[in-house]
Amino acid sequence: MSSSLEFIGTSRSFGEATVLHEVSLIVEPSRCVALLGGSGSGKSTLLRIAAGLDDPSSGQVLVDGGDLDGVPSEKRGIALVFQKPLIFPHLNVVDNVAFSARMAGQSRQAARRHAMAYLELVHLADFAGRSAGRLSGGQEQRVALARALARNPRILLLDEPFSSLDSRLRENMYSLVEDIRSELAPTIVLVTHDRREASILADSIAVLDDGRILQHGPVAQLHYQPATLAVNRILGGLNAISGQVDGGIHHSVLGRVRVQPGMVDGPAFLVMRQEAVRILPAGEGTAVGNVAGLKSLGAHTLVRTEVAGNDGLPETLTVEVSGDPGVSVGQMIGLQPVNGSGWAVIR
Amino acid sequence: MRVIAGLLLVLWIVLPVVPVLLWSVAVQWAAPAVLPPSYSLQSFSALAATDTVRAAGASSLLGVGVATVATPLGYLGALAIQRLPRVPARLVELTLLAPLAIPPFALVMGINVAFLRFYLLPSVGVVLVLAVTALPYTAFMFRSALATYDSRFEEVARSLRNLVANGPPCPGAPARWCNRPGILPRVPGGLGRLHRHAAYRRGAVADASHAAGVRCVGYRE
Ligand SMILES: Nc1ncnc2c1ncn2[C@@H]1O[C@H](COP(=O)(O)OP(=O)(O)OP(=O)(O)O)[C@@H](O)[C@H]1O
Ligand SMILES: [Mg+2]
Repeated sequence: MSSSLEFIGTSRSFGEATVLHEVSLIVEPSRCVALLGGSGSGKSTLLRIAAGLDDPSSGQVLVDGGDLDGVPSEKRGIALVFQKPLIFPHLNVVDNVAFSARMAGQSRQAARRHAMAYLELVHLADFAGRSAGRLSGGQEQRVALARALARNPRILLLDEPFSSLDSRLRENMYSLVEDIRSELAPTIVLVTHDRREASILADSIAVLDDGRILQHGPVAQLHYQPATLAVNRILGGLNAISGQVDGGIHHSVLGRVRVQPGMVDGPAFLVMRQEAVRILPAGEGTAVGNVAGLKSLGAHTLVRTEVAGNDGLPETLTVEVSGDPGVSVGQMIGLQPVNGSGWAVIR
Repeated sequence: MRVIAGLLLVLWIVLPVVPVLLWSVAVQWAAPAVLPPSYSLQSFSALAATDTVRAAGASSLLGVGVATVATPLGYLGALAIQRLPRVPARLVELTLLAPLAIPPFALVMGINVAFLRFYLLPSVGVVLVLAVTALPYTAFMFRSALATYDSRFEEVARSLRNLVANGPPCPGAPARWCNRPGILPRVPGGLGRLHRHAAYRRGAVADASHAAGVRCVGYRE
C-alpha cells in the first residue's frame, strides 16, 4: 500500500528570495514523477518540505489527502535520499543500512539481517563490513539508497541519487529502480536534471523552473507538446520557429504546418524537435536549408541549418540524424517534418 | 630519520618526568647534588594514609560532579554558538569566556554571596563554582568537535526514523514484536524477502500469514 503525495500552493521563501512559488503537484500512489529543472530551481527545497525537514512559507503538503502540517519527519512515512550520500561515518556499511531497524528497536542481529537484503539489492553485499570512509562516491550513493529503502517508506524521495555514477552503473541502477517499483511499489519523486534519466524512470515529468512548475505531464507530452518555450528548452528541444498561426495553420520559413486544434490566431512559435525533422535532397521537402554547422554527439550528429524565408530573417533549424548525415557545410538541403502536424506555443 | 624524530619526541616527553620520579623516592635533594643523596619509599607510604585517600576521594567526587555539570552545559553552549545568529552567538561566546577573564577570587567572592542567600550546601557550591571555571573548556572543546560535524546527518537520522506503524498488529504476540518495520529474516534471498514484505504491505497475504504466525516468528530472536 503506497500513498499519494500532493503539494497545494506550496511556497517557500528564504528572507527576501522566494525559492518556490505556489507549487502544486499531484503524485498518484505507486507512480514515479521526475522533477526536472536546472540548478537552483528549488527541487531539493521541495523534497525537503515533503520530508518534513523544512516548512513551507505557505501552502500545504498532503499524503493520502491528509495535511502534513505539524507532522514531524519521522511520522510521515517518507524517506529521502539526499543529494549527498551522508553515510554515517561512525557506522560501517551494513550498520548504516540497519540504522532504521535499530532505531525501531530491533536487535542488532535482526537489523543486520534485514539490512543485508537491501545491500544485496544494490549489489553491495560484499561491502557490508566496510567502514563508511572507504567507499567510492557511487558506492556511497547506493548505500544511501539501500538505507532509505530499508526504512520501508510509503513515499520515496530521490534527490539526484545517480549523479555520481558511471554510465554502466547508472543503467544498473535504473533497472534496480524498476525492480523496486515492481516489488515494493512505493510512490517516488525523483529529482534530476537529466531529461533522459527522467524519461527512462518516470511515468510523468514535472518541469520546475525558477521555483514554478511550468508543466506536468507524461514523458511524451513534455517532449512533443511543451506548454512553453522554456519547457521545450529544458526538455532539450532546440527548435522554435517564429511565425503566425492562422486558422490552425502555422506559417513560417518552414512553410505551412498544421498545428494543434484550439490554437488561437496570432504570432506563435512552432516547436519542432530536432529528432522530428528529416533531411532530404535539395528540392524535396517543405523547406530549403543551408547547412551552417555540424556537431557530433557520438552516434548522432546535429546538423544546424539556416532556413531563409520569403521575407525577413533566416531561422535556424537543427536536425538530429543518426550516423553520418551525408551533408557538408554550405550544402543546400531539403527539410521535412516527420509528422504532418506540429505544435505551436505562444511564449 | 623518522625513528630519530620519534626518539627525540619520546625524550622530550619523558625527560621532564625523570626528576619527578626521583623526587618521589628521595629523602632530601638539595641544589648542588645531581642525584638525591639518599632514597626511601616514605612518600609512597604517605599515599596510603587515610587522609590522603579521603582527599583523593573528595577530589575525584568533585571532579566527577564538575564534569557531570559542565559537560552537558558546555555542549549546549557550543550548540548555541553554532546555531544562533551572529550577534547573539557572540554574546554567548563572551559569556562562556568570562570566567577565564575574571580573577577567580573575585568570581568566588561574588558568587558566595548568592550561594549564601540561597542556603546552598557547601559541596554543591564548590561543584558549581568549579563548573563555571570548567565551562569555557568544555564549551570550546565541543565547539571544535561540532565544527567538523555536518548537521545534515541529524536530518538523515530523522528521515530514517520510522514511527509509522507498518502493517497490521500480530494477534497473540507481545506488543514489542509488532509495529516494527517488518521483514521476514527467514525467507532466503534478497528480493524474495522484499517481495514477501511488499505483499504484507499491500495486505494481500497479511491475513494468511497472521494465521500462520509468520510475521511474528521473524521477530523472535
Ligand atoms: N537554507 C537556505 N537559505 C537560503 N537560501 C537557500 C537555502 N536553501 C536553498 N536556498 C536557495 O534556494 C534555491 C533553490 O535551492 P535548491 O537546493 O532547492 O535547488 P536545486 O533545484 O536542488 O538545485 P541543484 O540542482 O543545484 O541541487 C537556491 O537559490 C538556493 O540558494
Ligand atoms: Mg538540489
